[in-house]
Amino acid sequence: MLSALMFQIGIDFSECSDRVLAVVRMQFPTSQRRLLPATAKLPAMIPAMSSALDLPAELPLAEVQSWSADLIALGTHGQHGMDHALSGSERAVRDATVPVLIVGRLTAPTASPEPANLDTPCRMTPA
Amino acid sequence: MKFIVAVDGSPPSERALHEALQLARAAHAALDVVIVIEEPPVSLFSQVAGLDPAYFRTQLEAGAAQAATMAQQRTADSGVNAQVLILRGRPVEMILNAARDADLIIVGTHGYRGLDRALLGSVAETLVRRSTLPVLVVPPRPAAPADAP
Repeated sequence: MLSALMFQIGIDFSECSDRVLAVVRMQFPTSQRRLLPATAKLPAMIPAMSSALDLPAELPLAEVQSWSADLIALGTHGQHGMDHALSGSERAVRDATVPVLIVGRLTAPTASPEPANLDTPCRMTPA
Repeated sequence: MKFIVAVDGSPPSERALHEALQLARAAHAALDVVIVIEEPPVSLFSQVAGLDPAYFRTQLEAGAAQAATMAQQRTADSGVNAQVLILRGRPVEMILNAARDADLIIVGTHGYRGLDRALLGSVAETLVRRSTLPVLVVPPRPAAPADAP
């Protein structure tokens, strides 16, 4: 059913996952959306630990079959920060049988390092 | 609203096109189907004996034309306002350039050059890293066998 596309969205309360949600809402307003807490806050505060945990991809994929989503949406830069860029999304792409919408930065990596205006890069400031 | 889908005629990109059409229909978006012919590096011809550049390019052009024909057929009665474009250059640059006024890029996880073991093909991965647009990465396996045309 085209009017009932089911989007499953991994949310970890980072700026990037906010943007994922905004993109899906804007571009596919008629879709059904199911949000999934995709990480725990606590490990994200301990960078060394979080890089080993690789949480973002785990939770959405554990449930994706039972939800029969048409699409998974994830941000590239969640609570894990820059070092962890892409790995959660890459794991999702590897294991998923449905398309994965990857929402990245608002500004190009090659653009000016200090975007002064409204563009907020999905980037965690190093501790 | 406009979406871009990059295809190369490979099975993963076939599915990317299928998903792109479905999403474009759902979002009432126009769709540009982009096929990039990559200029092979000059070093390739010096390294591989007997590889004729002219023949190689002819093969690339023929492959692209075939992919374009396939894409035309798929888009023709899809109800989506779609156009098929053949571009020449470096794939990621050409796709990003074509997507400057687009809202979403759609690409298969792997094209013809993809390796089984890589999580993402080089084009898909570089697109995700460099694009400021959302990128929809479509895996080769069908989600359900129920979408026979």
